[in-house]
Amino acid sequence: MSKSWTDLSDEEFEQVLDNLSDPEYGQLTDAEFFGALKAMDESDEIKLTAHLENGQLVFDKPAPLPVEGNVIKIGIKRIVVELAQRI
Amino acid sequence: MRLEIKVLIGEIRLSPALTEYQMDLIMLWLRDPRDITIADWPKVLTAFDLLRESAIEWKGRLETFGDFYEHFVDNRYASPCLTELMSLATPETDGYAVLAAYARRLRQELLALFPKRPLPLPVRGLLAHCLYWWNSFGKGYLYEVTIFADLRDEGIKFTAHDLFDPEERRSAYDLIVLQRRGDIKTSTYFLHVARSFPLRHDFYITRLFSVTRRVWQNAVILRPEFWDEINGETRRITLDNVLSVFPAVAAVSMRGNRYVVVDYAIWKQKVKARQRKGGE
Repeated sequence: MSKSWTDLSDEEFEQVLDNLSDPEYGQLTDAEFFGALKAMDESDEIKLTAHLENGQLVFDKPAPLPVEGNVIKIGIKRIVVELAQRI
Repeated sequence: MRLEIKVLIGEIRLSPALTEYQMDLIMLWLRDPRDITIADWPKVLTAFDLLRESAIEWKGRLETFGDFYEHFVDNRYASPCLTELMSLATPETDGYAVLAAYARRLRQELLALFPKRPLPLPVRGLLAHCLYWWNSFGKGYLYEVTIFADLRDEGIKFTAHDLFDPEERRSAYDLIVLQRRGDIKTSTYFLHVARSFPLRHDFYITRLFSVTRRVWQNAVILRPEFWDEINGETRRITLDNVLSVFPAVAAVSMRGNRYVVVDYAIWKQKVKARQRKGGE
């Protein structure tokens, strides 16, 4: 693990600042660039998982949002998710 | 000529919302952005936003680090530095030395404002903010100058903002091609911008190192409407698989919006062909 802000001497800290001027600093590979975009994409998503219990959909806990059974609670709203019967 | 700086510096406060963990992420990024795990990218960009919102009392006013940067750094350094960059015969190779010289001078001026040693954490935060953005903007200007020169050499018609005019330099877009607004951004700066989706402009030019081909290459990320207009074909792909296609053209979905990612050389060919057919 590298030194934290307060562990660095002033000389070491100035060296970190000097490093920012290196032409290579901050230049990303295509893999890093698209990987970072994907991570940002995913950070917008809220993933919930669910299973079936007696034919009813039940959200798994713990969940990133308040859930109870087949209900997602957002503020005063309740989103009820039901399985549709298809013939 | 000796430039005398008389400024009154008061209290410096890091944003109370900035956690120790976020500061550690910033330090990792300052050392080498490649040390940041993919999952931590969004977090470190948020941490930089909070650092920008930190406060300094300067000339009797409380300013954010962002405002201080504008007044103390950009207003004084940007135009003379750009003049030097523009005067270079080969800015893409010689420009980095000019930027580094300005960065050293800026660091010395900032250090002179804070005599206390060792440097307190908030002062280090301010120095890091100013030097990080100076280098980021400086490399961005250098990249812009290089792309403008290349477009001119290629005979592509475009309108560029005036880098010497502070207002225009901060304009929302860098150039107009075929009446489409575009921006030229280094790869890390593009990621800072990319958080505010949908992207504001019709196209973005950036520079990436191709791992498989071992070369630096420019990429263009553009709205599908612009790509359709210049008669480009696309292959729909996920962000996971874009590398298997790039530099060939890929259509991807980013944060709920569709974009086309294409090699800069291919984009230039398409633009030239469209302009030859009378597109302005």
